[in-house]
Amino acid sequence: MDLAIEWDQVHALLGENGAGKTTLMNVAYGLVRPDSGTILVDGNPVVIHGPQDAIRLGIGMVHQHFMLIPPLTVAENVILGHETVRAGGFVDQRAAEREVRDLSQRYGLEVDPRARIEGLPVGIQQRVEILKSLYRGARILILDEPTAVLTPQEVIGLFGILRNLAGEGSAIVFITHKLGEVMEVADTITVMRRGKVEATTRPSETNPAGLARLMVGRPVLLRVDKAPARPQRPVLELDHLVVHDDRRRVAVDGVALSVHAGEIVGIAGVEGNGQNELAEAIAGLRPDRGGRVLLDGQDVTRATTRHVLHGGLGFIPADRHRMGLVLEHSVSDNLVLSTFDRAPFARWIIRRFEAVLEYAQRLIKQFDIRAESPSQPAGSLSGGNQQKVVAARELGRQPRALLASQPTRGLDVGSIEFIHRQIVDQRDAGLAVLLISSELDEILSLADRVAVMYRGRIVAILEGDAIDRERIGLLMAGAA
Amino acid sequence: MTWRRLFRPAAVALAAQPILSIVCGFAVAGLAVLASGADPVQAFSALFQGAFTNPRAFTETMIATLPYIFLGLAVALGFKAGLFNIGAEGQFYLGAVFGVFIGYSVQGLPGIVHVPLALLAGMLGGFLWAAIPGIIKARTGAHEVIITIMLNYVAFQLTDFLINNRGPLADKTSSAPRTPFIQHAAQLPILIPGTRLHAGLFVALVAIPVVWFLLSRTTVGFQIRTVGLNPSAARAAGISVGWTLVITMGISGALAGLAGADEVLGVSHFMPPSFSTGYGFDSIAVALLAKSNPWAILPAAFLFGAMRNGATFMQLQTQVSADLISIVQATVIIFIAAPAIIRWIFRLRHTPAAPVQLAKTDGGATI
Amino acid sequence: MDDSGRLSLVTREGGRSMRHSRFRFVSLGVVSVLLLAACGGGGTSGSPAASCKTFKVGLVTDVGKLSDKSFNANAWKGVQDAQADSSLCVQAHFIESNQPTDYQKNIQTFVDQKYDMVVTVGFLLGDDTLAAAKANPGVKMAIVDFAYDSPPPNLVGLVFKEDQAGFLAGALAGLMTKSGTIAGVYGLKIPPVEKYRVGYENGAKYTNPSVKTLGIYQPPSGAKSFNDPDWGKARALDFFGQGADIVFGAGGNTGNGALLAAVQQNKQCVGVDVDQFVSYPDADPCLITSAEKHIAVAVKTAIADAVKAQWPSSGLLVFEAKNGGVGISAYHNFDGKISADIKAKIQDILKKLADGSLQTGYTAS
Repeated sequence: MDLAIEWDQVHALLGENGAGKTTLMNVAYGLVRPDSGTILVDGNPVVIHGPQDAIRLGIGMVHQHFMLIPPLTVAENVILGHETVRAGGFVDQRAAEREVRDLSQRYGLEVDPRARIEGLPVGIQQRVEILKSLYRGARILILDEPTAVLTPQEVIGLFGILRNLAGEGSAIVFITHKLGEVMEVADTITVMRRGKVEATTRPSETNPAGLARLMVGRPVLLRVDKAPARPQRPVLELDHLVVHDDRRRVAVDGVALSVHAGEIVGIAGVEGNGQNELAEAIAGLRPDRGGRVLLDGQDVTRATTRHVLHGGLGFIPADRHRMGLVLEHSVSDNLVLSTFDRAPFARWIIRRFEAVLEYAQRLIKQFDIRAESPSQPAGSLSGGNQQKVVAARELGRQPRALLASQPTRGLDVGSIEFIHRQIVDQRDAGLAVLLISSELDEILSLADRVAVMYRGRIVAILEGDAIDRERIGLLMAGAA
Repeated sequence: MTWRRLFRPAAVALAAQPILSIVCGFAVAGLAVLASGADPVQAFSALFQGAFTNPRAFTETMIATLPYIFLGLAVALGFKAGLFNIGAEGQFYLGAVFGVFIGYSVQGLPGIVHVPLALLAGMLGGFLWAAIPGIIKARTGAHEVIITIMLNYVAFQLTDFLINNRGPLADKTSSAPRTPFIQHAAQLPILIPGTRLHAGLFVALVAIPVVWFLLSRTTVGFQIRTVGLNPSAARAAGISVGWTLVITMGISGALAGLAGADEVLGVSHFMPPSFSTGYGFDSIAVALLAKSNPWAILPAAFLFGAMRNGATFMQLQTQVSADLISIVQATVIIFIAAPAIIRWIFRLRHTPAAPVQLAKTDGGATI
Repeated sequence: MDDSGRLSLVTREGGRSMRHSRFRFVSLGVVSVLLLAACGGGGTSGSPAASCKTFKVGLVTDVGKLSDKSFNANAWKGVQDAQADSSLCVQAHFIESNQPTDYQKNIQTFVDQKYDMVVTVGFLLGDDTLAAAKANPGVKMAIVDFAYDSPPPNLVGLVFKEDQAGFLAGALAGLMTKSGTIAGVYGLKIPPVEKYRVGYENGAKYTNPSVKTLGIYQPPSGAKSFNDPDWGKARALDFFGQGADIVFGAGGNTGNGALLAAVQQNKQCVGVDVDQFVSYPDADPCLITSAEKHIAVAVKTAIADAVKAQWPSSGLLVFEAKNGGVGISAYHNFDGKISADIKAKIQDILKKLADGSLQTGYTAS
C-alpha cells in the first residue's frame, strides 16, 4: 500500500480494528519491520530499525497507553533520556523546566512543568506525551487512538492542539475509528480496510455515512433505530452499593440505581471512575462490598458469580480478552463457558459434545458469528466476532438482566451495529440492560436513561430530553 | 507472507522442538564426556545397551519409566491449571508411605483386593499432601511453588521419622531403618518371571488415557484447563478458581502418590530411607518435554527411564559417572524452556502454536 | 603378632600416600592399554600378563557413591588393591547407586555380566545382597560392615572390631590430654557405636588411669540420627566447657559436628571409621588420629580369599588388630607433636590387642 503524509496537515488514518492502522504506524516508528517496501521522508528513502532511528528522523509517537513515570514531574518525564547534564552529573532541573515551559507556550499545550504526573488528569497527561515527542524534535507526530481516554471537553482541547501543531508546520497522523472526530479535525482522511488503502479523501468531499461505507465495505446504519422504552418491574436493583478497588480504596461510593425490565440504563463516565468495580461487584467478582444488590428480587450481594449468573444475569465484561473469553478455547467452548457443566452440556462430569456443538451452531447462526467452524479457537476470530461470541453466550442463556460493560470497545462499525441491535431487540423483549460505556456516542444512541458516574458516585440520572451531550460531558468531568 | 512457506503440519512442528532439545542435550553431555577424557560414542552406546539390548535391560527401563509416567502426568496436570507442582517428590513419598502401610499392616486380603486398596491408599496420601498447598494457595494466594518445595522437605523428614529404626512404621526386626515387607498379596505381580517388571505397567498405561479423558472429556478437566488458560475469564464465567486449584493439586498429588505406592508394591516391597532420588524433580522435565500432553508423557517418560536405567551400564562399561544423565536432563530442560535457542540453532522460523498470532500477522501491512 | 603390627602401620602409611597409589593404578592402566595396542598392532600372539584366569569383581556402592571419601571410596580402594596384585588376576568395575531401589538392579547387572564376585557396601544393601546371594549361589558376594545370622555359603559379611579401634584411639587420647578429661560425641546407641565408646574410654583409662571420660549418645532423632552436626557441635562445646580437651566424634555427621567444635575451640579431636583427615578435611586442624576400620584391607582380603579358594564357611570375616583390619590412622599434622614414646606405647598396645594379651573390655550386652 502507499500512503503519503504532507506537512502542515492533520492526516487521519481511519479504519476498523485490525485494518492495519496501528501496524502501519508501528512500521513508521520502527517497532515493526516491514516485509517489503520503502519509507521516504522528504523524498529520501530511510531505513528505520527502531524508535531511536525514528526519533532522529523527527518521527514521534503518542501511544494509546501513555509511557510516563507517575511519580516524576512533567519536566522530568519530558526530558527523560535526553537530559541536559551539568558538571558533576546532575540534571539541570531549572533548564529543563524552562525548556518545557517554552515549548508548551509555543504550541498552546498548557502544562505546569513542575506538576507530578500521578496527580494530572488523563487529558493533561496526553499533552505531556505530545510535549515529549516535540522536545525530541518530532515534526511528524503519530497519535494512536488519542481520544479513547478523554472526556468530550478534553477531546475538543486536543483537537485545538493538533490544529496548532499543523499550523506550525508539523505533520500529524491521527489514528482513529471514530467518524465524527475525523470529520472534525482532519485535513486529509485515509480510510484503511484489511491492510489496504480504501480511499484518500477530504472532509469536504465526504460525510460520515460515506466514510463508514468505505470502512466496512457496505452501507451501515449509524443510528440505532429504537422505539421508546416501556419499562416494567425493576429487575436489577443497587442499594447504596459500596465497592473497594484492589488497593482497598473506595471505588464505588453508595451507588443506588434500579434497572427495569424493558429499559436500557446507561452509565456514562470517563474510565476509571468506578465503573469496572461496579460491574465486577454486581457480577459477584468483588466480595469486598457494602450495600445490597437485588437481582429479580433476590438478594445476591454475597452470592458467588456462578450463583448470580445462573440467577439470571448476563455479563459482558469490559475486557474481552482478559475476562470475556478464553482465546485458546474453541468458539463452542467459549459459548458454554458458564454452562458447560449443566444439562444438556454435561451428564454427571462427562461433557456432551454433541449438545455443545448443536447449541454453538445455533448461536453462531443467530448472532452471525463469522467462524470457519465451532471448533476454531476464539482467539483466531476478529475482535467483532469475538465480542459476538461473548454476547451470544450471555444472551443465549436468556438472562433477565444484562450487564454490558464496554460492549463494543475496539469493534468495527459492522459489529457495533449488530451488537447494538441485539441489545435493543432484547430490551424490547423485556430484558433489563445496564450499559456501562465510556463512549458517549454509544450511551446516547442506546440508553433510555443515563446515569453519570464520577469518582465512584452517580452524580446525575438523566431521562428523556434531559439527555444532552454537552451536559453529560460536563458531569463526566465533575464540573456540574 | 513468510510463515506460509515454512508452515508445517502441526504435529511435526510440535514434536520438532522437543526432539531437537533432546539432540542438543546429548550433544552437550557428549562434550562433557569428552572433557572428562572418555569417549562419548562409547558412553552413549553403553547407555543404549544398558537401556535396551537385553530383556532384563529393557524391563528395567520399563520399571524406571513407570514412576516417570505417573509423576509426569501429575506435573503436567498441574501445568494445565497453571500450577507448578514442584512437590511431586514429596507426594511420591507420601504415596509410598500410605501404600506400604496398607501393604504390610492389612492382612488376609486376596491380592485382587489388597493391591488396589494399597494403590488407592497411595493416591489418598498424595492427594492429601498436595491438597495442602492447593488450599493454602486458594485461601491466601501464596505461591504454590514455594509451598510445594517446602512440603517436600517436610515429607522427607516425616518419612524418615516414620521409618527410622524406632519410628512408628519401622520394622523392629531389622537393623536397617526401613518398614516391614508388604504382605505377599499386596505385591504387584511380576509380569515376566526372572525380571522385576510388574503389573504396575498396566496401571501406568491406564493412567495415561484416564488423565487424557479427564482433561479433554470431563467438566472437571475443562474447568482445569480454563483456569489454567485464563483464570480471570474462568472467574467471570462463574468457575470457582480456588476450588479448581485445590482439586487440580489433589488429583496431581494423587497421581504422584500412585507412583510412590506403585514403586513399593511393585519394586521394593518395603520402604527404605532416601526412597527416591529426584524422580519427582525429573518429572518436571518429563512434563515440559511432553508439553503437558498426556500421550506425549509416555515417550518422554520412557526416554527418562531409559537414561536412568542405561546410566548404570554406561558407568559399568566406561566408568563415566551416571550423573552425566543429569547433564542431558538439565540441558533438555534449558532448551525446552528457551525455545528461541533451538530455533536459532536449527534456523527454524517461529511457527506459532495457536492461530491467534496468524490472524494478527494477517492484518499486518506492507508498505 | 609383630606381623599384624606392621601390617597396620603399612596401611596407615598407605592412607597418607593414597594419591600415590591411585597414580600408580592409572599408570598401570596406561601401560596395559599400550600393551594391548602393541599386541593388536603387531599381530603377534603375545600372551598378555600371566596365565591365570581372570576374576571379575564388581562393586556396588550405596547412595553415598564413590565420592564419599569414606566407606564407598575405601571399599573401591580395596578392590583396586586387589586388582593391583597381579597374582590375583582381578578385573574390576563399580556401579554407583542412585537410589535404594537400584541396589538389587545394580547387583543383578554384575551377575548378568558374569562377574565372579560382587562386593556391596554398607547395611543399606543388606537385604538386597542377601536376596541376590541366595538367587545366585555361583557368585561370591561380600558386604562391607554387615553381618547375617546364617547366610548362604557364597555370602560373607565383613565386620570389624570397633572396640579395638576405639581402644587405640582412646589410648592415644589418654596420653595426649593435658586437662585429664576427654570426651566423646556418639551417634545412636547401637552396637558398633557402643563398641567404639567402650573401647575409647577403656583405652584412655588404660594409658591414663586417672582420666575423666565424658560422653553422650545421640537420642533417636529421625532423619537427624547420625546427621545432626549442630547437636554434635553443641554437645562437644558443653564438654569443652567441662574441661575436656579432646573429643571423639563417632556418629556420622553428628560426630563431625563435634570435630568442628574442636577446630573452633582449638581443641584436639579423634575421627572415626575411616581416616577422616582424608574424608573430612574440615577437621584436619584438630585431628590427632581416627579410629579406623581398614575397609580396603577387608575388601582386598575377601577378594583374595575368593580367588585363592579360601572362602570362609562361617559367612563372616572379622577384621581386628590381629589381621590388620582395624587400627588408627596416621597422625598427619600431629605427627611431629606426638612423642616417639607415645607412638611406641601405641604400637605396643596394638601388638597386645593383636596377640590377644590385651582385651578392650567390651562384652556384647
